[in-house]
Amino acid sequence: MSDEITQIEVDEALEILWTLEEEGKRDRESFKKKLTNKEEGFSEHRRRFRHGYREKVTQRVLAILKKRGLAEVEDTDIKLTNKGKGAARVIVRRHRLAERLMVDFLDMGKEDVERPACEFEHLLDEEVTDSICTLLGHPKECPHGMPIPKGKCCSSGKKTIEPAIIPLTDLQVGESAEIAYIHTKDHPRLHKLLSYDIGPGSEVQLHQKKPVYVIKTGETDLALEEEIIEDIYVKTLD
Amino acid sequence: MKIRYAREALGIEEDEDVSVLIGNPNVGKSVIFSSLTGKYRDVSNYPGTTVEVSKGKTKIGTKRETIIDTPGAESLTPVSEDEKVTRDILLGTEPNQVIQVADAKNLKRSMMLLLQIAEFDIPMVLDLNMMDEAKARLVDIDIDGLKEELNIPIFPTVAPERRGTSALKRGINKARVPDIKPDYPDEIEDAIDELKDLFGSRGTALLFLAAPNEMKEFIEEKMGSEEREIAEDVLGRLYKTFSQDLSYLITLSIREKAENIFSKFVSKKEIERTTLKKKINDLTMDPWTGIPIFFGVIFLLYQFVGYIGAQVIVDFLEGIIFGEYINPYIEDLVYSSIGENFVSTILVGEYGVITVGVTWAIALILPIITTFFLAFSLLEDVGYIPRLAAMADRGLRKVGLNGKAVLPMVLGFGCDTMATLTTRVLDTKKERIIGTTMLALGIPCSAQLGVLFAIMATLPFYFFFVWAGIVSSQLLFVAWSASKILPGKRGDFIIELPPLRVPKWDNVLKKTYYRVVMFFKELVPLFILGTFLISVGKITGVLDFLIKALEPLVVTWLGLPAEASIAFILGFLRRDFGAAGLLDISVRMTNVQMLVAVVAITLFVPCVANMLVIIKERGIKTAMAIIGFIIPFAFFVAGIVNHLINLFGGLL
Repeated sequence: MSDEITQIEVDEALEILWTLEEEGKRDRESFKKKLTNKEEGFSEHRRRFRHGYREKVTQRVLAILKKRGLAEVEDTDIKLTNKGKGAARVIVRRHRLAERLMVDFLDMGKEDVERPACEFEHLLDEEVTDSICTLLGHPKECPHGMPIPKGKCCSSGKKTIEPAIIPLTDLQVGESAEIAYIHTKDHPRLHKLLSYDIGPGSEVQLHQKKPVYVIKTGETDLALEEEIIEDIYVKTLD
Repeated sequence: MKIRYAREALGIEEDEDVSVLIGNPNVGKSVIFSSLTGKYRDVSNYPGTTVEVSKGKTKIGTKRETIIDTPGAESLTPVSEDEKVTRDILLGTEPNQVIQVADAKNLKRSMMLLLQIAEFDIPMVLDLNMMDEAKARLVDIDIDGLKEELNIPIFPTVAPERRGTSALKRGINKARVPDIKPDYPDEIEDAIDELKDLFGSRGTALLFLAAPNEMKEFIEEKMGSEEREIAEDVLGRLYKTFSQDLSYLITLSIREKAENIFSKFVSKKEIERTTLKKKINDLTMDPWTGIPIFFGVIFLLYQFVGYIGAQVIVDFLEGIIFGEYINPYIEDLVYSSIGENFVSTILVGEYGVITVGVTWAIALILPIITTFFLAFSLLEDVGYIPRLAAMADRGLRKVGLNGKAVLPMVLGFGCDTMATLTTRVLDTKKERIIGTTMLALGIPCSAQLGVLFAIMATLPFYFFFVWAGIVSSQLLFVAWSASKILPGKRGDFIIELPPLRVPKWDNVLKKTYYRVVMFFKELVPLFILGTFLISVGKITGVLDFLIKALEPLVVTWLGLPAEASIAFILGFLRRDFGAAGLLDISVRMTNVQMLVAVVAITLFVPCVANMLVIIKERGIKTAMAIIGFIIPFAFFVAGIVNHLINLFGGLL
């Protein structure tokens, strides 16, 4: 059993710090708990933490982060440096894109994707990550509702790989599609859409785009404005 | 929402038995209601809201019961005021049974609503309405299987043709408590179990979990602090368990179950022919044909309401019937019996309550609202209203409104007072304020338009465009600014487009009748009160004082003769009087002066009846803010026009 800290563990540590910051936490205690919690996520390499190594491993990981200029430790607070943020951002992006891919595309349950996504995140290089992002239509959130950091491909709005999940606005008139997800924080709107049976899994047909969008769901024709349609992402049906 | 408040609010006696009619919007619920109750119904606004609720009587089994028609609802977790009222009625009237009306061709949505109602343990019957349309679309429903699955009686109907309605009426007393429920996540199911006794039913507990804020009053009335704490604890636990919104999770479970029922009992034969009907439906929405159709409908609507109603019929009733026969007779009668004094001035004087107030109500308002509601009910029965709104959405969005505002705006060219009442159809407070302000500021009513056109005829033709340009640009500018400045949101525009159908004239006439009666009752007192206030102003000298007070502003800032001041104050009494006042003194004014005066009078305050409606609908504070903005703004803009033209002398 080696005592060396692997790159994988450094990546894990960065991801944990990023997630903690999203939750508004920076304390060492939460970090340690997450880092050494065998329930959470990947890892054979964490088994050894069970034997009282927890504090030791935490110290060692933090030392490496500090040495590489990825994080700063002040008293009980741990803060990602700009360099650390850059590195963490890439990992979190991969992780959450991987989750999206598995839920939307491989029809896996939201609860089942954490572990494989953890493994996935260490395998992807930037190009593959961007391809997946494009394939999914540059999603904004992971299946658990956390924001996905944007990549280069998002700002260039690249659509060259025929994306399998596209915004409903990109569907051709007359085409049918199945709704993959609705990206909105507006609960009354979501509720209203659901009560018209517009939600993940529903099949819709796009009737027209101008002057208003008209979609058909079941036997109902609905007119909706663009602002609402833009939030709806669909899988095309052949 | 007090628990039994709905009974009190709807005037239901303590021992009266009640049935409630519930359904999604556009399922033909009100036609079913008519066929159950016959002629007599009592339409009123649900207290504290602008939502209409109808009440009638019907025979169920051997006894007569009260039956209540609720506003259309997609869900009992309320998003709109309509849905809130429906929920309150279901919770607060303790009905003997619920009659759910469903659109047979859209059964999935109706099932979602049914699953929510089923949680209340109230006996139900299901009416599958619009069976003809379902059949036309080759939708096949296994009614017997569905009956068994839901454990309630089901009656297929085609309401407008009265098919199946008498069987429905006879079958209401066979209502049963449905035996069906969605599979909620275990944690939610546990929470319902813990809460159902506290809240009185699973349904109420679910309403609490999905939208605790909406149930505040219910909890405050029904529970002690200890029970409230239990409820809060259960809720807190669920919040910790789920990262997603509870209402979303609950709706998802309901939707899944509805889908399940749907796929089990509803099938559709795949091939659907492109029928002529479908082609016509598409034509009304296609941009190339839909937009011309839209403008055609608006034009015909205006011709019917603004010309035939507001001019031809009004001229006949007001000018001939009242002007030449009724009013002279009443004047003679009053003067000969009580002589000329304070009372006779109030009754039949220059602004008499009878000679002006009552005359307007009957000769002016009645024809306008009758023609409008006739046209509206016809368009509604045909199914065109949602299409009208959809076509107008893009334009109205720019000024912070949405497609639903098209009717109040068009109606404003007929009568602003009545149009202000119809701003109720708008979803949010913000939209209602913007709509009301636009109507009051720059949409001239048909009476005023008539006189304005007469004035324009005396000026060079291009003045018309200058006037229209100034007024419409100011109108759009104000609405646009208001949409940026006012807090709050614009309502989402999601509207169902029901298939077009041949209108049923008895439905159209019935609806027109109820609406005319209701609006007439609301408007008449306002017109009478308005004329009364003006009479008092005249007698006490307040009116003359205002005219004098306005003079300096009119002379120096607007550059008009002093007499124009009278026209502005008269415009307050009635918009066309103001314009007519200008026409009287037009010989003494230059063309530029006329333009300035016409701009000012178009933008200037609405008539007194409109103002009273604004106060009634928007509340005194908002009303004062609107009026307080419009008066200085109208003079400001007209003054600027005056000074600009003078500055660049002879520009026109």
